[in-house]
Amino acid sequence: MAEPRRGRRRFIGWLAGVLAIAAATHVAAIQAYPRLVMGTAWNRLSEAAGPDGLIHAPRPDAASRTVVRPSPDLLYSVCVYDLEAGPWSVKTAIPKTYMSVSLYAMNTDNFFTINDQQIDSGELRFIIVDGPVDDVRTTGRPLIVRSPTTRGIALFRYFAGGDVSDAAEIDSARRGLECGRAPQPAELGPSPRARSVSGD
Amino acid sequence: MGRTPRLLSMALAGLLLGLGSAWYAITGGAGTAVAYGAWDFNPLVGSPAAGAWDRARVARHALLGLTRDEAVYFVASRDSDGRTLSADATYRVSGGDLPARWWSITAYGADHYLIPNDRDRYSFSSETVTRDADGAFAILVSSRPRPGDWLPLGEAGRFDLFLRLYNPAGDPAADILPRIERLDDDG
Repeated sequence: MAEPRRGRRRFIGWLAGVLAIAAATHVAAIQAYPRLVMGTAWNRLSEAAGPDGLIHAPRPDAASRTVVRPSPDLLYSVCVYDLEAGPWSVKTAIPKTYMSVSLYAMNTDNFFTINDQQIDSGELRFIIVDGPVDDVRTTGRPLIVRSPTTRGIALFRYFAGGDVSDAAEIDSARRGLECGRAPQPAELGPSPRARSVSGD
Repeated sequence: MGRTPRLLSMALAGLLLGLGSAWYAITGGAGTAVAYGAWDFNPLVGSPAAGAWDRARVARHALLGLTRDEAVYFVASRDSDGRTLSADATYRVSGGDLPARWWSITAYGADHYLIPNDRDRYSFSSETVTRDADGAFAILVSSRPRPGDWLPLGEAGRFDLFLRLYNPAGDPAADILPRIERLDDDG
């Protein structure tokens, strides 16, 4: 009688151990997955970026395989940032059609977005920081965005699903885009302030 | 069974069960998606308010998506009668203008990428769709050439439709989203 009972106790103990390990593994995998996906995307984009740190992707078609479900009505430009050595500066002209800049943390969160209708002038400038905003000394009043992670991705979307005559202006805006390590504080000039922004 | 083999089998079974269930949670199930007729809407795409499971699902299905303040995304893998979308059939996607700065309807293959076709036509937007006198539109989604606004499916097999609303005016109601009607069986 004692042997079957001991065998049953062992099995219940084994099963409890399996379930405990499974639960811990499940939670760890769920939490790690977004960072794994973003880390892979960040590395790939970083390798693909030109000398200016930017990627100006052609209009998505059936051969586009970088990101799932790309919109064929948008032109995408991408900048990967790394704030390890200091703040990052972003500057872009605003075309007549829809455009937006979105920032993504390494856990995939879209923590900041601004679009053309939220800009007072024909140019958008802002600075990305990962520390206290007070640590960033500027001569003007640029928009400052705090990134929750040191690395991240800035994605620029330009609507190109309408009038083809907008293509040249959109292309010009994309080619003039700047996204890189912020210059020294003394070199930072004033910037138009956005009326409103989402995110931090 | 000795102590060491028992512990090893326990660890291996636990790891496999944990990884398998995590993969199922990421790839299967609708998560917090809300059904709007034929269309599903996940209000937590890109949102810092998303929980760990939703964030993992978004990383798999909607990486680099925008939050609902900027854009809302609806996906349909079934028609308005609940039947799975298939390139063997023709569908009529119809409706009126949607409350957004601009919108678009795009077809994707089962691999979540744009579907190869001879016309290089992947979507219709609020700027390119043809409207009648009442402002209504009708897009024909089919593998075979169709008159008017034809969205080709190539050799897609199963596919889904993606509706994007940029700068939406609030959350749209289900009854204003386009209907997806199956017209015939081409096979």
